[in-house]
Amino acid sequence: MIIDYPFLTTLILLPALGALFIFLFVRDNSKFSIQNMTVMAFWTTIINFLVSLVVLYGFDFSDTGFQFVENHIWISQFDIGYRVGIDGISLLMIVLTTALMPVCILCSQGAIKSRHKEYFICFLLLESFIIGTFASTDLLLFYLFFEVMLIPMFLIIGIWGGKDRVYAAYKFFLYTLFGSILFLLAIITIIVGAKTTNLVELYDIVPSLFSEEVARYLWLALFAAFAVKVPMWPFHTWLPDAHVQAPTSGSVILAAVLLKMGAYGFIRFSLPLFPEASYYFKDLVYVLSLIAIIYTSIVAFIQTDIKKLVAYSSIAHMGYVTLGIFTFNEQGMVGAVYQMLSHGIISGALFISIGVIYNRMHTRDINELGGLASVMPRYAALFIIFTMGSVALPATSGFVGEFLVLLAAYKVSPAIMIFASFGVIFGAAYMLWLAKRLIMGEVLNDKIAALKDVTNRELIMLVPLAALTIILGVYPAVVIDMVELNLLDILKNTELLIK
Amino acid sequence: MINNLLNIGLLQYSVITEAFLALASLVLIVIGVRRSDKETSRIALLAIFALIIGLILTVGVNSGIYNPFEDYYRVDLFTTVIKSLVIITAVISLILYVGHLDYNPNNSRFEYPIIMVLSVVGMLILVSAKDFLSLYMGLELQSLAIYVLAAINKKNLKSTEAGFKYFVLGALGSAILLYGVSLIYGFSGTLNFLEIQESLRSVGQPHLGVIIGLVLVVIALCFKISAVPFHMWTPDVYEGAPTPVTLFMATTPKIVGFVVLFRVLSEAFADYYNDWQNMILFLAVASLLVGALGAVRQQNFKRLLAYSSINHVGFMLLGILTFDKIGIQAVLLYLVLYVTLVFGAFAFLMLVKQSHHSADGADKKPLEDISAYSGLSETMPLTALGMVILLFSMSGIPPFAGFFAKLYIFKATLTSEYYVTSVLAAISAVIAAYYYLKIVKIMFFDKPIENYDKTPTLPTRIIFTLMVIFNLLFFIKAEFLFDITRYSVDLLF
Repeated sequence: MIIDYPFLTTLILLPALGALFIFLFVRDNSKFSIQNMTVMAFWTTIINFLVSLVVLYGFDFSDTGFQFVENHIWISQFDIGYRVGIDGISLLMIVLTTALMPVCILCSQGAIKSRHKEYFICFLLLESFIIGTFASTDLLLFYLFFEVMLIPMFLIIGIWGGKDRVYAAYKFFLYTLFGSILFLLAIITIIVGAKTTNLVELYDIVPSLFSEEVARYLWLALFAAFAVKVPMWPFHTWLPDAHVQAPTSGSVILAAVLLKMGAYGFIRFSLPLFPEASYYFKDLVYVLSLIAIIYTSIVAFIQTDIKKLVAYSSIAHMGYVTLGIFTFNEQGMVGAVYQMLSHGIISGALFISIGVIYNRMHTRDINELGGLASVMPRYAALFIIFTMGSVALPATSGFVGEFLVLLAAYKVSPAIMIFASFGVIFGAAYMLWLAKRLIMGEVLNDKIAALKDVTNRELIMLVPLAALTIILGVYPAVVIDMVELNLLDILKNTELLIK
Repeated sequence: MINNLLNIGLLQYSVITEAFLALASLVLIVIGVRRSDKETSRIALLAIFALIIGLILTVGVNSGIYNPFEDYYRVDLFTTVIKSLVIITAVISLILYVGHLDYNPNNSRFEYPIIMVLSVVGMLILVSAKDFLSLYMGLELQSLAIYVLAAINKKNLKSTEAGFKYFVLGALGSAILLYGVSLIYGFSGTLNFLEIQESLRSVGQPHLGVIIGLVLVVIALCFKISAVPFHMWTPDVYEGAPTPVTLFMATTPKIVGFVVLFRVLSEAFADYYNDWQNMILFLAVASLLVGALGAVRQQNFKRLLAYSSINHVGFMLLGILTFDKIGIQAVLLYLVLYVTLVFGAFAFLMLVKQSHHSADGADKKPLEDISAYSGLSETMPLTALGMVILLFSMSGIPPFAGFFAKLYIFKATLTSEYYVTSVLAAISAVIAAYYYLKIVKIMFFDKPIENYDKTPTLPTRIIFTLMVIFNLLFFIKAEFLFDITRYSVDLLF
């Protein structure tokens, strides 16, 4: 690497420093302070986004190893270190995070009505921890960020959430904690065997370190952590609660980034560390993914709360991701990563759109809404774009991911492909139905008739996301080139090791 | 001849801390009776001063391994580390007591700091014990002092009850210990740990009587560290005893209890590993589960802490169970971090006080019902934030200090291939997280209801802040403590 400046540490620490600044210098929650904090938080995230663009610019896409590597030993007894580095996949996730964060800060304006200071601190810390998770190339460091992230998210749901926020926050925390504490046991077992947590070394050591049986148990422990996070059926029940209760910005970051962490964990850890066990359990993943795709699509049908509907659709869309990862072929992996990105953008945008309506109407009940197209034309247009993306209409980003995954599934078995395609049909059905009831039709009541169209601030949030949805649908190569080499590399190693 | 004299001189220097502290407590009594109870905080400051000198003496003498008093006693790096820890924790307890006096002047009794110093002397003897006789002597000195402390609020019914309960059960524990020791003596003909091992080894086949003796000794020690099923007194005594006594009881004697348990098992009964292993396994798992499940329904903060400490004891017993270097290092590390958490939690309890009591001149009581902390994050934001850090540290969320304690314990159990036990421990940690979260929820998610007294009690605030900062920033310089624990454990194996 030509540039020795610790860019990744900067990316991780910058939001935390912003949080520290707010913690130290903001005294009260007066109107003036709130304005200052919002500006402060907004610019912190914008600068972080710019730094991530610099990293993107300096990244060498022809190299499959980790780049921007920093390596400091931390606990020498177990060879645990502060080791960060990125490859194409983590770079993609980091840019997605830094890009969505300013949007989250913008959409919390007006929606957050109390305790702004704590809110911005939580959010900025959350950004630090998310970037840290994606940038870690040390098993324990990853775990550390993966777990500490629960705290700000717990507070965001619990303090600024809806009516049943406490229940949702608990459920979110304890589900995830249970999964990740098994992950911790697996990590320690790996430390006992391999005597290091350096991921680069572990890639060489671990696949041949454990007996077949132990490797399978360890894989299951990792699976517990990641499957809860994705979430896969039947570990998904925390997600609808968390989404419905969380404030808009919390839902956005949860759907767009936190869910991706599970899938990222599969790609980064499960596959390369335990290739044989991954291959062994692939049928299990297929079955759970297919159930997630079909079952949650049906559940989504009967929802009357828009947020809950989108939450269930998220589970179905993440089903394609897990399905794609475990097809063990190129299209599947690329499709899965593409779907991660695309779902991040589309579901984030959908949650923001719901927030826009909720701020005006204070309801998310589909039955109380209708005919928005005639009072909010610009909003309706944007909402239709995101709906189409979610439906996976060709020329939207949703199409590329799902198409590639279906293609890959066909290679494994036509039956899987056929079942997975049902999800596409159901998805189209409930999303179009939602759009019909929400956007089309008669104006239901006076309250709706009095609605104002999206403001400039909301346009700034939504238009770039709409543009991305279409650009990524028309020209997917720009992203595929970023991750393809890395995924091929992982796939090649995995296949070598399975043989 | 001269060499011999020199040796004796050196050997006696090795008990200089104990001698000094015993003497100091006598001097303090003389000073105390001549003053009124109003000057308790001055006596406490003198006691703190004496303990600090004791600490300097302990660390200063550490330059080798001594076995004074015909092998009844020992001084080495390990005992020095533990003794320093004991004295430091006692000092912190006393500082918190001074803070407690600031707003509870009616309860002050000058005997308190003196008895505590005496109890510390007992603990120092206990740490150095190399023989069942010196062990018993230290244990009784320590325990008797704490019985008195628990009941020191003699006008308070609950305090008296706690003291009595603790005394009866503690005396029972001591009796069981003595009976076990007598059995062991009967079958081995000696009371010295190492000689017991040799004597039993020469006999060959383990005799049932020795095993019973071993079981009885372990039971007695488990009373002291409140491992399940010998934990029944803990919640009641924690609740009833005055808060400064509870926090002292929850910290220093626990450290000593674990060290002694480990000493007895590793030196006298190392060959009986297969016999006591299952017993410790049962105690550990039972403590983990009872500690986790018992706290779920508790509403009283002190009772909740009692159950949480039982859960922590379960984790530490897992370290003893593995009986190897990494396991004992894990126990030591866990003890240090656990102590900081307990001090932090009790300092929090003492910091948050009801204000409406002060109007009529009555004592300001710390709030003990957890629902009274409702909305504390808005009335006392920094204190609430600090407590949240402590709570997440207790539940083992990284990067707070408590995580590393659990990391080391799990490393030890998984190295020794206790897979199922580790999973059980992990489950208990998740259950425990539930009730720690309950306090977070009350402080952050509920509406504020109380007006709290915000007059600063400086000593309490300082200790609280220190403990929070330690737990928050531990991960940056974690190596420091890992190295100390590792070196002191290296000596043992």
